[in-house]
Amino acid sequence: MRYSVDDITLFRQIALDLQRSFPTHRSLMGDSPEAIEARPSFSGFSLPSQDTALRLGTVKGSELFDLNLSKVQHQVKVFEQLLKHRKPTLSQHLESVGLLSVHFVMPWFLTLFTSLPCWDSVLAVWDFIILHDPPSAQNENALPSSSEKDSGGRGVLSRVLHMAKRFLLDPINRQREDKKSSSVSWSPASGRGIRSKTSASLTQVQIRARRRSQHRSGTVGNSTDVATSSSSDGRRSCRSNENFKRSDTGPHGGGSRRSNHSLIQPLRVRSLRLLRSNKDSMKNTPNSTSVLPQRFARPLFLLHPLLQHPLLQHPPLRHPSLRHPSPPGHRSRTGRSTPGELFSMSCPPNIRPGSPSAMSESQHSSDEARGELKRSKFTYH
Amino acid sequence: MATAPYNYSYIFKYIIIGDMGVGKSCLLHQFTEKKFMADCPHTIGVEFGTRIIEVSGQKIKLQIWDTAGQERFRAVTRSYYRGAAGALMVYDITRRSTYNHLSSWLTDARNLTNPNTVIILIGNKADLEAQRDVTYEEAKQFAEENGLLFLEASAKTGENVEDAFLEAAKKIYQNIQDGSLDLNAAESGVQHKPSAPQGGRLTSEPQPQKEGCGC
Repeated sequence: MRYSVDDITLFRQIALDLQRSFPTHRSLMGDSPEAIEARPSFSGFSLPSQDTALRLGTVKGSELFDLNLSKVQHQVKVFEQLLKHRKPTLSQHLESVGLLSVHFVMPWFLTLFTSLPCWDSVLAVWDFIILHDPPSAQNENALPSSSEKDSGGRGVLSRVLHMAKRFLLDPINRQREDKKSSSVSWSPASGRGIRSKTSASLTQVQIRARRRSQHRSGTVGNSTDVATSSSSDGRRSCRSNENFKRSDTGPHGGGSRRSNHSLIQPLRVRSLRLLRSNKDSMKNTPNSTSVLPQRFARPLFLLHPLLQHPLLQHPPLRHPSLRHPSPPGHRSRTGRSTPGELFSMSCPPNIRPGSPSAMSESQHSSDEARGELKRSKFTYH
Repeated sequence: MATAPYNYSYIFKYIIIGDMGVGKSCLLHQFTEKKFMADCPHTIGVEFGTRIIEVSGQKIKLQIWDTAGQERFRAVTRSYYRGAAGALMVYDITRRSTYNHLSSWLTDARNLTNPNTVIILIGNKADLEAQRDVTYEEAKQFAEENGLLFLEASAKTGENVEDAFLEAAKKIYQNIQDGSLDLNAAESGVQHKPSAPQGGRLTSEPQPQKEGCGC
């Protein structure tokens, strides 16, 4: 088979983009055969980000992966309009600090959220995506030829994309999975059940109260050694560390290369808290079956056949430049973790959320706006 | 715990531009973290970094936008220039092509920023003297012809990295002092913050004494 110049350009691009997918996941770093083998399996995965776009209410997209980014830019425009109309306060705030949607949405879409600094947040987002079946998924599946027609040199990509899409979106595959493992069985219908609980079980007041109590515990957590906190307390350590780091930022060295994530992190912390609080509340509900907490104890996406890759069982991301001695309890002796463990792990305690940016200066006012975005994530249909 | 009050007088927006792989993200990382990041992932769109520096006794917060150098992101990258007070235009001294592309970067920078934006040319990877492909004199001349500041730096060794950011900040501050940069103009890239404790809940320090306003 011969490849055209366009194909080769595209392949080069894929090679570049592969590095961007999970750039900080331990298993995918370096040149070990394992890492090299694993990367392509993620390339397919990072491509169908338009499903994410769909999830967020944008128009039906075709492949976001193209050389001039026109498609992703189009999606960003749609996202921008949606944000403007549905979340005007947040949109205005972002505008006032000079942040365009393209600045943060593009990395999200292009990497299917793996650009987020914390493995936990990636899992939370993926869980969310898989829980919610996009209404247009059936249309996408019904019209596979339309996307292949205009793809030209991207035939390979289209197939990868299509395969990933089928695995990710096809309810039949999920049901097969159901039969395979009865203990963790679930269906789109039960997923909807969980979702309705998610939105119903958390009122705004509860979120605020929780936020306050979390904040207190987070402050107390500063005095403890973050590195020794167990994995079960991982998320809290992540948070307390965040507080610690934020207050630690002095006049010098206050910067962080990834300080853009200071915008994302509060969101993530809260979204995780939402998941956790939901879990807690379900545990406390006498009516809830024993299956439900179990479901939330492990990330749903790990049940998916496409994601049964052994590498996904590895501990979470750890940035090379930020590497620290691993906190005890963070990973088992074998270097592998169960999905449940993986989910409860903290983000690397040493990822700095960065010094207060223009955004966090007006943190109090933006708190509400962020809360709004977070809630919207769990209520969009 | 020790907390420093975020009392800075100005915020300067910087952007870092240049071809792919010249070391833009590494320069930023070296500047903000004082570490060299060997296997730096490719930047998608833009990443941010901040650091507070001091120029003539004034604390200035640098808000640095580290852009993706890849051609593919060029159209998107253009949206980052708006309101930049300083631009670091980076090339790789070991790769002539990155130097040859400077004129196109400069055109973008000139067209998309305001006339007072300070542009500093940085020849990165100065530690790789043996592989040098662009001479210091040549780049110096290019910088002079175009009215740019110029430095050769190494994100690996940290040589001149601080200076690159500081030189630009000094120039911007000087522009503010002599009135050529109008702070009230939209998109001057500079925000003046009368010294007030920022992020009040993080600091219990007494309010710092007011520093003279420069404008």
